[in-house]
Amino acid sequence: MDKTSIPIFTSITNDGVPVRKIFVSNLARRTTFRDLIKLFSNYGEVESCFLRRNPRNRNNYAFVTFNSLYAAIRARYARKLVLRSKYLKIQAANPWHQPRNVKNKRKNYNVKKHKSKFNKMSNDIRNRGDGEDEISIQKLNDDCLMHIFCHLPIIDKIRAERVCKRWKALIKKSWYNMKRLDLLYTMWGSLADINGREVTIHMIRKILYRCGSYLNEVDLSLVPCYVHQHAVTIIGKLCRNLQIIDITGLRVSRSGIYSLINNCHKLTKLSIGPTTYACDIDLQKLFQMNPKLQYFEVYQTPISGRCLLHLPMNIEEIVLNSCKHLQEISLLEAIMKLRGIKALTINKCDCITSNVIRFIGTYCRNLEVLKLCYIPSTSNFQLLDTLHITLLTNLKILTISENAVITDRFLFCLVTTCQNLTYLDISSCYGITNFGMTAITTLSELEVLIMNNMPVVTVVQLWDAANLQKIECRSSQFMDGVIINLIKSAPQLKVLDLSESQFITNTTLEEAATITASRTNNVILKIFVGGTSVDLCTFNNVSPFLQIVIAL
Amino acid sequence: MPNIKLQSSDGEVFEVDVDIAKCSVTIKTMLEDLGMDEDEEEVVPLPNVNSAILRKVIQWATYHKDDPPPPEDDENKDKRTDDISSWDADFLKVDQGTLYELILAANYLDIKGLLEVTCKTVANMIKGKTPEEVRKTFNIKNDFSPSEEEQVRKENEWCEEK
Repeated sequence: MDKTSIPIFTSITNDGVPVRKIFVSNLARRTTFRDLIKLFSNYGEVESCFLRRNPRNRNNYAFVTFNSLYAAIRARYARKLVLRSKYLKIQAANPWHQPRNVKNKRKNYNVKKHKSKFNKMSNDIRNRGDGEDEISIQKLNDDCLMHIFCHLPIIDKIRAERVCKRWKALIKKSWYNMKRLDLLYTMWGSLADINGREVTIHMIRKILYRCGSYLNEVDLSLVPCYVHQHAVTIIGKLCRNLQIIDITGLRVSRSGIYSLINNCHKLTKLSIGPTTYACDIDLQKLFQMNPKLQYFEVYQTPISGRCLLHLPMNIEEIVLNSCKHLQEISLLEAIMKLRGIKALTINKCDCITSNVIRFIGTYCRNLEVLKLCYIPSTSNFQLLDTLHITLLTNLKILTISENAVITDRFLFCLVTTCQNLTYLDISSCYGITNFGMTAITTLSELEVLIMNNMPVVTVVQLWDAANLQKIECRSSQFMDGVIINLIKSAPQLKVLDLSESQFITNTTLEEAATITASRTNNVILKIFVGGTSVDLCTFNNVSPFLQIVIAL
Repeated sequence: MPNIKLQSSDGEVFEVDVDIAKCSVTIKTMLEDLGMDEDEEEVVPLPNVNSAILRKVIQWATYHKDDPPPPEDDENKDKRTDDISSWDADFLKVDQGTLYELILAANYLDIKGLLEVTCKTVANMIKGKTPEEVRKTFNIKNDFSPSEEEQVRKENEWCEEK
């Protein structure tokens, strides 16, 4: 065999006969002769076609012979060829099936001779668009043009409908690719300003007529004042396939909630903002229509909490944010019922009482993520109540920032039971001192430690920080020595935020450069030093694994 | 590193590192489907790509050979078009004809990253233009009849600046 002349996909057989005949299998039962001719004519002139239909064992197959070798090549490497919703399998027909006619044998895989013929063919393709001009964009096929349209912001896309008939048709088709809608500049483009302030409800309606049924996700968490509550009514009607909806930026009225109840039954994530009325009963109906709901969030919603009892049993995450009307008793019942939840956030709600914490610790043993912020300091808290959190042995992520009730003792109990913690946020917990911080050092799985704004803490000593990747200690009282020791003991550290820490000087950076320069794991350390006593003009130690960022 | 020979439509043969050639899903599946014998000197004909374009495609693929693979899910595709790297922007400072040829080649060879960046470039050329300006920029014939055009204009009036 002559090594040099045999191309990888064997355009010729071993005997030197060009492969013009292909074998097509995995055909649908109903495939017709005409289907095949029509499909394969896209790749070149079809000389003959043989279709074998075996009704009994369904192994239909076909042989298609092209006039030219190149047509056969193109057909063989057409990707994902579909006929009657089946992916066709295309191979070269066996050598003994290949037609041996003189015309093609003479050509015998000589590229130079094929050249003129091929060029003519590609010119044919080119001329499909605006014939007279060689460099017109119209010579791109539909596929490529649609790709381009998908990158256009909404306003530009609609405007481009006016360019010509082909564009109008293709743009109409290209909306199917749109899965998510928000009101940000990047999505809407030139007419909308940075906050999307000029997007009106009228425009949203026009857009949803085009793409509503394709959307999986609508995010209206940032909404301009021009868009009012009726937006939700329209979204419900036009976006029946929504899975994720966030309307925390809107004041939703009853008609909006009803529109969701009547139309959207595939929701998995639901986030609701300040409604115009106490909507517990209507939310209950909405939950019943959406059994696949996994995530439920309320923000400033005037609910009493009764609706929580009717959440589907497979709910995984609940976020209760700034809900002033939430009642302790409803919350307690819900916690008792929804023991399977994996993540719970309760933020700025007056109803976090010692009972609520006791119930969480007693019933929600599957919790992996817990965020309890702004526990009201007026409530009658006992230390023992907070210790119920430490019963949650599956916890991985714990945020207990802004809580005066958290003390050193709590941390010591936490580390003895919750050894799986990877994320801990204790920012602005003024009850924690240097003594409490020594407890944290025993959490060997810890990856992220957030301790912003802790005025009494001046020392943290870590000796087993192999997994630590991020430390945030903004407005801290740490001196250079403490931070240098941290960097030394945390070889995986990627982010260190020291913003506004007034005692941090160039000494930290000098040492950080020296320490990271000898890192062998290629991990880059990023240090934020905005608002510190660092003076970058006099710092010139370089390390390939150190990045210094000044940002507030 | 084994090399592979790619042949353009006009017959020129390019020798390319297999790993670089494999950024084209078309070539990758081709090689996997047929199995490759390391000893054999094989030539892959690419009948849809001419030598000038193939040279550019290889240049792009060589520069981007260490990029992380693009995320699979098309659903959350980011609409940003201002994130074209400066190297790519320089690379795509070509005439419109070449740009379209590159898009066609990227589509045929199934090179996601190149298709993305070239389409973004064209999208940036369309952005912020009126339909008439778009026609002028891209040499497109207006095939609407006056009455049809008036109708489309009316339908889309709401998104025009006033």
